[in-house]
Amino acid sequence: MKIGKKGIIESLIGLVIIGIGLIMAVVVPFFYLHIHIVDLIQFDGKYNNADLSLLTLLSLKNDGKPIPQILAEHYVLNNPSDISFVNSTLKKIIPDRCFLFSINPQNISVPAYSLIIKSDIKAECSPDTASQTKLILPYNPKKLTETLELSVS
Amino acid sequence: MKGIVPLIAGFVLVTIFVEAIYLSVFVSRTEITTRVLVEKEIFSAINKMEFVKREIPVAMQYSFDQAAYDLANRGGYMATETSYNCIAYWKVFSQDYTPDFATNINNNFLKIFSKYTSAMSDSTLTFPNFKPTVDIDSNSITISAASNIIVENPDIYTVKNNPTFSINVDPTIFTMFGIGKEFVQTESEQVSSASSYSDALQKTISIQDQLNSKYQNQFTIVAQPENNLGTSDNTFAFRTLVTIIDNSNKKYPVYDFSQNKNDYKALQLSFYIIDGKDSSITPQTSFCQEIKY
Repeated sequence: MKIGKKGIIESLIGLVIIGIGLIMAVVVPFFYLHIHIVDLIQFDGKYNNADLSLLTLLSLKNDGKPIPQILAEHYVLNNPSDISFVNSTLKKIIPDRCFLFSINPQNISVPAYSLIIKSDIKAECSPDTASQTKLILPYNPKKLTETLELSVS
Repeated sequence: MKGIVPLIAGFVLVTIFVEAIYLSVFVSRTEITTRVLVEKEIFSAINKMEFVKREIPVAMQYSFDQAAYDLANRGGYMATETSYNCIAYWKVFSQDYTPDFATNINNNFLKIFSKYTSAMSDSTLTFPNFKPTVDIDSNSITISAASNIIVENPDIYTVKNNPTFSINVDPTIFTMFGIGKEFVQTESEQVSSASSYSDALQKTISIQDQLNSKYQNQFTIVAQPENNLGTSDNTFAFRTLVTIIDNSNKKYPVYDFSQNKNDYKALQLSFYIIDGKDSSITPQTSFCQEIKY
């Protein structure tokens, strides 16, 4: 049986296609694995960054007073009534990213003042990674802690 | 037909090879995902411990403020039988009831601080029993415990931390108790030797004036002697309400149990003294119930 020129070209094309298919079959799973690992590391890093940003904020002082105490006394006693410095501090800690910093009241039996601070970077800001901790409040038999949350994009 | 066998064999080998790669990638993916999720849990646990280390000094500060405020209002005792309207007697004739301030504030601080640690605890976070120590010389309070603060998920991680924390506290309350003791000591020396009720009153006001000029600008000492309970001017007995007021305008974020709300309040120490010649007089007392924190 003689194989003509056309047959050789067809066989070569077939071999190239099978070869590319084979290489893709080997490379694609590794490439997909790589993407998966990067995604996981980014997911892990984002959570850790939200925690670390909140930790940094809570480690700072303003006019010699620890920020957790300023937040707690603003929340319970509205003193100081203006806590805009928290927004500018958060912008320095989390530059170029949008965030939402708030207290999530667990019950409303105790009168309290609102604490919601939003970044003004983007109108369509959608912070998706949240870090939570407890804010220690001045002694009150009905309520000693409240949940503080920082969501970061 | 002969040529097909190596072709099928080759196809099967290639399929097995590709399947092996897919399987190993799938296993790796599962393992990496599990590992990253466990790592995330461990990072979160370490971060949680870091959060706790920042929360404890704040809880200590608010516990101390509340303990000092309540203790000062009640004359240095949280519960005592020798009190009137929940203000303690520091001296009844020759009987000295001056409180052991360091011990009493330690005990009151611990009651309040334990409430905070209970509120902070959850299924993964446990606190040991703390022992507070107030150091009046260095104006500080330290808490320590024999065991660790633990953040734990038994199947995945255990994070432990040495639970010793120390904060500086405002020394105003210590100074106020010092002035109170000074008042009682001077009163014992001078008023007990007074010849008459009018002489005793004069001496009491004189002690008040001496202490006011000594601590001027810092504190105001007010002595309010009551009427003679004795049978005559020479056989006298009287009760004095002593109040020491902080002039610094410092206010503390505390819970006022009489108003049932949080507010900024200044410290004020009040106590009673009974003195005179007629020691048969029984001071009017009422048992002061301990505050249920």
